[in-house]
Amino acid sequence: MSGVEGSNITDIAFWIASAVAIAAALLVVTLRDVFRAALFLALSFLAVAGIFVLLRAEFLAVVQVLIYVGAISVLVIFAIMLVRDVPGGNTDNGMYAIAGTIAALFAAAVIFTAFNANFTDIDSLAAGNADAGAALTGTYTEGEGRPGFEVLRAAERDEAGARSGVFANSTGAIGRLLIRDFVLPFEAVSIVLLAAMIGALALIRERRAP
Amino acid sequence: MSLENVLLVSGILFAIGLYGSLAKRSAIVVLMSIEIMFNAVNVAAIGFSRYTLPQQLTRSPLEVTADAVHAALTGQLFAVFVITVAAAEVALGLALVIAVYRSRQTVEVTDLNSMRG
Repeated sequence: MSGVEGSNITDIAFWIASAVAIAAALLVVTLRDVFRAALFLALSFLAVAGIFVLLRAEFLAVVQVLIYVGAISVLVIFAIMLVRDVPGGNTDNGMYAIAGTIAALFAAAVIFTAFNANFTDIDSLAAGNADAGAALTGTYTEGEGRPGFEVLRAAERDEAGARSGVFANSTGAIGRLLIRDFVLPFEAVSIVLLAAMIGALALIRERRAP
Repeated sequence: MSLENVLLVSGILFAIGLYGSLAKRSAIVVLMSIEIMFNAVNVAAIGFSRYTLPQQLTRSPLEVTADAVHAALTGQLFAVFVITVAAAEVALGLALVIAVYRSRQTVEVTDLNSMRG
């Protein structure tokens, strides 16, 4: 679309990030040492953050690093250290054949569907429809009254978003979507978080003898 | 790098997480596998957000309006919600694991069968 995107460098970076994410995830489910598995889980999260950057979701990549790598991995490592049982190892429960079959069938179904479904993607849309391409990449230059022009005007209304399309300054747009179109899920999820926090505190509280 | 490749990576990651959550004995590893599955779903959502517009599903001649283009970010918004729920889930899950460890001195899901009839 713009910049390095579409070049070989992005492809190579994407495949490296994907290979790291998949290899680290495989190590999480195969390593016997749970502590090392947790470290490889953090590596897998980091690689997924790299994939997010390549998919032009920079805000999500930062959130991924902050919450998954920064908070969830550390929480998992804390739990592993608190639970003395773990040196016993990361063992199978004897159902690995069934689980492997289910997982392989699932992967086969998803990959078959992904490669056989007919997605019109944005890039071919941008090639076929000048207005759509301009609105998505922000290269719109002329033509008041054509439909894409309104999009550019909308983009110009937020200062930094001008001339760069919908994905360029997505943080502000995500914020606006959150408090306009998705305000009810936003409030619901904040109550979910509050309930989870109180629930976790209540579960973990030491019970004093009466 | 196309939508198909992104979905390929996402499907493989989800399958690894599915295998781990079904086949592992330690509750902590099961939680870690569930986190891998959340990540796979986020990759798919963000891939769809990057490569398609939501209105393509409902209107065959795509009208390019400001709303249609800004709706392209809906997939990223879904990922925000998934991350929030994943954070809540892992906090509660690890609290449960530690509470169970306190009372039963084990975190292995195969040992937690007191509800078996």
